[in-house]
Amino acid sequence: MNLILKTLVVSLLLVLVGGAGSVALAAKNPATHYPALVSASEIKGTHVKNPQGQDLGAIDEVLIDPDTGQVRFAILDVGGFLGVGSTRVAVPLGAFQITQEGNKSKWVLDADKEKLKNAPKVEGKNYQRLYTTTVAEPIFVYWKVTWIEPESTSAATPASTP
Amino acid sequence: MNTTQQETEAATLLAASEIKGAKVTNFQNQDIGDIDELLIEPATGQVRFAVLSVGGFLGLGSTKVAVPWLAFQFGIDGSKTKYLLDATRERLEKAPRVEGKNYERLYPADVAEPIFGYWDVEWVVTP
Repeated sequence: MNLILKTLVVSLLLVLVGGAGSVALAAKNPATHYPALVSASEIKGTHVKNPQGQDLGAIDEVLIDPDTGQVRFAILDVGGFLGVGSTRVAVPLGAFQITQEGNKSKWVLDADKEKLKNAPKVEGKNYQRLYTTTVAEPIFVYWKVTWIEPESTSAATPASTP
Repeated sequence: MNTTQQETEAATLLAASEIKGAKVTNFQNQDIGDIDELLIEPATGQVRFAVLSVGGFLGLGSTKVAVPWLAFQFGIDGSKTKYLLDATRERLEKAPRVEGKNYERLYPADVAEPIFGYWDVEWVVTP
C-alpha cells in the first residue's frame, strides 16, 4: 500500500517535472536546432538575414552573464540595411533562429527596416548598463523574448545596483 | 587574495571579445594561462566551455583544455574582471585536452559529461 502510494507520488512528480520542462522549452526558441557548439569567434562577423532573405548586418559582439554562463545579447551591426551610418542594436539571443547550414551556423532574425530602426540601440562599449533588469527587460519585450530574471543574480545582487 | 571574496560577483555582462585572451589565475595566484575560445550551445544560449590555453605553466608546449564555464570564479580587479580557476599544475596536466578546432566533438553528452565531472561541475541536460 505504502509502496503503491510512493510510486503514485513519484509518477505524479515526474509528470509535473515533465510539464515544467516543456514550459521551459516553449520559452526558448523552438526554431533553433543546431546540435553542436559554436565558438564565440565564429559568431562574430556572422551575417544575419531576415525571413525574407535580406541581409540585416553582422554580429559584432556576444554578451555573457558570467554568473550563469548565459548569452544574453548579441550586438547586431546594422549599417547598410538602414541606409544610415553604422547602428548597433542589442538583440536577445533567443530572438534569433539558429540553424545549421553546411558546417556553419545560419542566423535568422524576424526584423524589417522599421523594426530595426525602432530597436533599442547600443552606444560604444558600455555593455554594463545592459546587465540591469530595468534596461534589459524592455529589450527582451521589444524582441518578444520571454524575460527570465537571472537566478543567481536576483538573489546575490543587492538592490543598490546602478 | 582574500579567499572569501572568490564567490562570483561580477554584476555585469562580459563581451566575448573581452573574455578572449583574459588571463586566468589559480587560487595560489599563479598565472595558469589564458582563455582562447568560448563554446556556446545555440539552442539554449549557454556557454558550455571555455578553452583554456595553458602553455608556460605546465612547462610544456601550448596545451588546450576544455573547462566548463561554471568552474570559473569571477572577481573584480579595478575595472577589470578577474578569472579564477581552482587548478593546480597537476590538475591541469591531467585535464581533458582539446586538439585543434574540432569543437563539435565536445557537444555530445558522452564527451562533455566526463569533463564536467573532472572539474566538479554538475552536468545538467538542457531540454
